[in-house]
Amino acid sequence: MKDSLRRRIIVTVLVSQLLLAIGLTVAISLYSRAQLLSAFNIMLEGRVDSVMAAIHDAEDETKTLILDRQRLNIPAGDMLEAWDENGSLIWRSPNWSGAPHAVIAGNAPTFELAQGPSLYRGIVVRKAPIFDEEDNQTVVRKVTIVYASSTRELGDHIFRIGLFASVASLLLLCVAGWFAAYGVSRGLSPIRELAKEAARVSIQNWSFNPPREVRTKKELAPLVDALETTLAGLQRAFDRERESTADAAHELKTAVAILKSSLQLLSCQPRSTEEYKKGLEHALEDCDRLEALVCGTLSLARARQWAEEGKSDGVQNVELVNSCEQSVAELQALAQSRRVELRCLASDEFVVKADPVDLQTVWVNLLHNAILHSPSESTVSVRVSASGPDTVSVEIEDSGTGIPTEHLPHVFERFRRGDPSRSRATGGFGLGLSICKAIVEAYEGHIAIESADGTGTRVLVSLPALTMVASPE
Amino acid sequence: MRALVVEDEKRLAENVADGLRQCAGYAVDVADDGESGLFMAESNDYDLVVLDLMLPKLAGPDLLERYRRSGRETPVLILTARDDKQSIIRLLNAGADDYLAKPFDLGELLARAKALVRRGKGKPQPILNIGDLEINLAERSVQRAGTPIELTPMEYRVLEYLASRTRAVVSKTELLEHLYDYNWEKFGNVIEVYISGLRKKIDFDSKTKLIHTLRGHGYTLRAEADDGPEQ
Repeated sequence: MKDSLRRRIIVTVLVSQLLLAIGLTVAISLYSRAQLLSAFNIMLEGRVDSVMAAIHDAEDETKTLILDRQRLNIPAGDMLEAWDENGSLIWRSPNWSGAPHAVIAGNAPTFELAQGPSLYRGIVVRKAPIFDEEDNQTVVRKVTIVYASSTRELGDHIFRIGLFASVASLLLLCVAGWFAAYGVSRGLSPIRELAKEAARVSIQNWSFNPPREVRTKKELAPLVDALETTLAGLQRAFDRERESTADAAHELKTAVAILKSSLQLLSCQPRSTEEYKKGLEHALEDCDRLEALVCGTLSLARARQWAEEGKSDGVQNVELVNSCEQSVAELQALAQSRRVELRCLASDEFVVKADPVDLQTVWVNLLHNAILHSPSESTVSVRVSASGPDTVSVEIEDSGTGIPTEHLPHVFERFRRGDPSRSRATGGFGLGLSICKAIVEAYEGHIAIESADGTGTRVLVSLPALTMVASPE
Repeated sequence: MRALVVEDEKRLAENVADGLRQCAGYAVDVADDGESGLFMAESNDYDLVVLDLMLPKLAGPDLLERYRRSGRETPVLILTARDDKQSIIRLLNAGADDYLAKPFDLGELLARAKALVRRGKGKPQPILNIGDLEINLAERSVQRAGTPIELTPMEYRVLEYLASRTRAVVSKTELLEHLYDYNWEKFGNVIEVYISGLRKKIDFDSKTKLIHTLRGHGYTLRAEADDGPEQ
């Protein structure tokens, strides 16, 4: 059985209520006991007074004090003894063997003692004055009276109060427990709703719409927000992934379709040797295109894997300016054929940790794009400079057609061409920039693109630099 | 017959167009984006449109929808790299007549194209009979009274088009429009040449003439005597 929040809360509430009930019962019992005891004491004092009223001088020469039993009116079970000021016993009730010496000698006004099966509580009134009329003179005699009465009734009384308090508490506890269970169930229902709604989310169904009562709960609102943000992000990532898989499939199928149709066209009717030769050349071109597409897709997949896991094979210290210059040299022929000037500007040397082949891939891709989108008689420049204490940036700038602002955020997506219409004029697959981004990120670098429609494009690659060496002599 | 291929992948468009030209004897125009594709499809009377789905400027499904909304009945064959059933169902419901998933077989594409054109003309039979004249559209062969007749490609195309519109009067302009690609105006009076060539080969030694000229109106292909053309 699963641990239930609801049960936990209810148990906590019930336990705290039980503690409260016990505390209340104890407090009530203690308080009533104190009240009853003080009432008992007052009653005892009253009885002592009546005892004192029954004490008077003996009508003889001895002048001793005697207790007139005719005038004594006390309950049968009570015990009493009375002493005069000389310490001789005036009277002791027959059911008592006498108060312990400590009670009389001590100072405590009250005492408790066990007599047979029952408990007694008593008071000691010391040196209480007795006024006597003698020869028209008031004579004051002092007596000490010890009086005790059984507390059995008192105990019964306290017990009954305690019993009443605990039964009442238990009944209230039951009501409160039921109410707590109901309230907690109701209070937790938004959580159940939220869980139900969250359970409905799947790859097929991304919609997450918890009811309003869930959204408006202060404790749940952050959770709902977090879930919504996460789900939206996941959905975007999934859609993007699905879209680019579909795009990749589209590109591959198209490339295969071209090759297949070229060959079928060639064989659909008899042809001359010359026609066959031309047809085969065409088919070979289609094959090359297919190969380039497959290679591009694979290198992108590899670069993305590096970007996620980091790359270690083939990584070495590479001098960046040298790396850029090599790429510039490689593309010089293409640039000249399109009458574009290719320039590399750098003052210092910068060392980065990377696979030189990967860096070449990035520069060649970026320069290739820049050259293809540049008008003739324009310049494509590569600038290597420090952009921070330990970062180096490579800027590749052209004055070409630029990229419309609305398409800038998508240029690094797979199978995107700079031209939103996906024009195939340049013959690329739209993989170059995605590969560049993945490679740069594999080396913990950053790539950004800035472009103004019609005035040119600037790609900025920043990489973490190892050391900055001053120009060699 | 004249077909329009709307496909942005240049090499694929060329191959499909060449296939339709060489193996089906169609005149073919090629559009490499959706906008020009729609413009061409709406400004010419094509017998078939071959449409790729992922197109720049105007996507294939939108082109199809707008084309159908303009009231055109020309059969549309879709080329798609997506073969999920949902999008195919959507496309067929949006007015496409058939589809082929890439990579397709060129032979299949041509066969489907011909079948679509036949049905588009209301004549689904692959062999047309007009009197004792038999035209095999699949093999592109012609015979009259059991005797095979050798036609030049252009003569066959003229005959095929007339046969697809049997008993109707086909004007010279209509013939030109359906037999040539976008620069048909240049060809001017060649139709008369093909018609007279066809007459010599088909009607030469038969008592029943099949090709009739209605001066000022055009041509009609039918087996009955001149009791006035059906419109």
